[in-house]
Amino acid sequence: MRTLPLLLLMACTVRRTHVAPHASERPVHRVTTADGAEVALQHYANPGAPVVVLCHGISSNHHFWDLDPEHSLAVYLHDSGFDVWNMDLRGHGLATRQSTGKRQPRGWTVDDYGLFDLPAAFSYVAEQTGTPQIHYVGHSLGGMVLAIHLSSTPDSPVERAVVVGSPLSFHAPTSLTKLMLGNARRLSLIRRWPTPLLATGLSWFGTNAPLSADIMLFQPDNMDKPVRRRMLNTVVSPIVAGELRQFGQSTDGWFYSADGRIRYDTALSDVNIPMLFIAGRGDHVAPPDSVRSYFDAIGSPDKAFIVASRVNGFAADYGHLDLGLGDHAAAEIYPRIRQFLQQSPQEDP
Amino acid sequence: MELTILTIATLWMTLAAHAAEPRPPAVTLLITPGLAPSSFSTLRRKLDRRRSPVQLVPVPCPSGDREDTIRFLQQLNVDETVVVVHGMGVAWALEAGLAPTGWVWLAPVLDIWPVNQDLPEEFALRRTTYVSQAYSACSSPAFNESLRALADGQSPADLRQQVSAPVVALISASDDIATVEASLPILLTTPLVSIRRLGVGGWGHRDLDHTELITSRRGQRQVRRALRLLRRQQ
Repeated sequence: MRTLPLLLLMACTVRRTHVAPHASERPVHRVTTADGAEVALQHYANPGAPVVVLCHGISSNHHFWDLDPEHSLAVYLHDSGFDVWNMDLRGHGLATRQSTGKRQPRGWTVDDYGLFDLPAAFSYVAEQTGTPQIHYVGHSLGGMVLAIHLSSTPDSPVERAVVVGSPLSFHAPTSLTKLMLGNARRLSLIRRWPTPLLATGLSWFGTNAPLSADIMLFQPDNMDKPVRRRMLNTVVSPIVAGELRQFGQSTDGWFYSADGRIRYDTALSDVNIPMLFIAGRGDHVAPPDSVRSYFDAIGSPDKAFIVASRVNGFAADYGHLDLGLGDHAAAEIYPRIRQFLQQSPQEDP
Repeated sequence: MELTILTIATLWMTLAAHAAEPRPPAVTLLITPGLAPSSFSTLRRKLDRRRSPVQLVPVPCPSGDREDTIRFLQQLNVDETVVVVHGMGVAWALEAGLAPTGWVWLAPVLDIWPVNQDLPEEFALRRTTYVSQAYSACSSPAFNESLRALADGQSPADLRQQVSAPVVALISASDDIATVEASLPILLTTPLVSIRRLGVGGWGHRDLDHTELITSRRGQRQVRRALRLLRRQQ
């Protein structure tokens, strides 16, 4: 605990590192949602190729899927013959503010990502590419917002989807998760949590960060120190009050809508699209059992569940962030996502 | 002078309160077949410090047929005790129909992999091989028969409705044998179970593996805490 003030002090003094330059060269498309917010889509063009939309997780941004040339699912899928659109949800990364420089409309929740941001992005991408069918890859919250979208949109354009480290329940939480979920409503009194600042402070720790914050987020043995530092300096966006308020609804361990009326795991039995679920044995944010609850909720008979662990033949017990950015992700996780997206309906089991 | 009186009074009240507490129930500690009995010695020593007896029972590996182990367990008298059981032992204890006053399940193996038909075959094969290797000291056709029963989704999932005493189940995220994705959905639908997840995020800096739930100080502390919780519930 005594290192916490030190972490904050370091966070305040550290200059943030620069963004991977190759990412900034891609054209950025801005799309206005039905409720007046704006999302950003970075385009890795491959005209006429199958379309895939990538979405980041909570407190993250588009750099999660494109950190640098060695850690980029966006570039990997583009080079594998996909037309890739890497999204920033409202309030994140390139969509922190609107294109006019104005703030995004206040008070949004996780539901708004699934009800407004995803449909707006999908319509725009379909219109731009002339392809009505879209593949989707979401990490963590990016997978949860797909659940919100699918539960509310029976005619969704999503053709195949991969969710990576996305929970739909929070049962038997550890003390820390319990503390955070139990106090989510109190924590939501602060409108924007300065998580980028804390992450910058964390990037200066080797191991033994306060409250095991490093191991909570990633497996240190599966992520090189420079990558870790770059990730913590570029991938993190603030957490907003509405997100915390919605997670505060999960008092019985299930993920609910912001108004508490919809328990999302019960609203997905009619979802019939092929889906791949990837969990990490060392993931302490979305442990495999919480990802399994998402797997179980989906009605589709064409679904698969993989736990990335040493015992299952992977090079590491993957943590939450190393599922996308770990040392071995490009060799072990990306190809599985590509293979799944490239399967035609005839090839499905 | 006042300080001395105050100290003596406090000490006396503490002792009186302690004496008034009901005696903790006796404990039957089942040694998991296939694991070395020495793995359980520290846990036994720590449980011995309580004021109730601890009965240590080495459960034999199934030899001739799978029913050997079940028959052995059925002969035990655990009616007035809390049964502390680990790993594969949980499935066998349930099958034997033991009826203790309470249970502590450590890393219960209640299923081998979560979604049999949907998991790619390469992972399924690795999982059964890994689990049987972990219990290699017990390897026999009869033991493999038990594993197959679990892999086919039989037994404990069906037997869980027979649980009639409170259970505290301790699980760990990095346990590759009693995996959280396999055991938690079953535990959540088993009556009278309260679940404790150990490891990172539970104020620990590393996760515990399958046997560390017995051998580590953190695991042992949690067993004692589980026994206190059961005593309060009774």
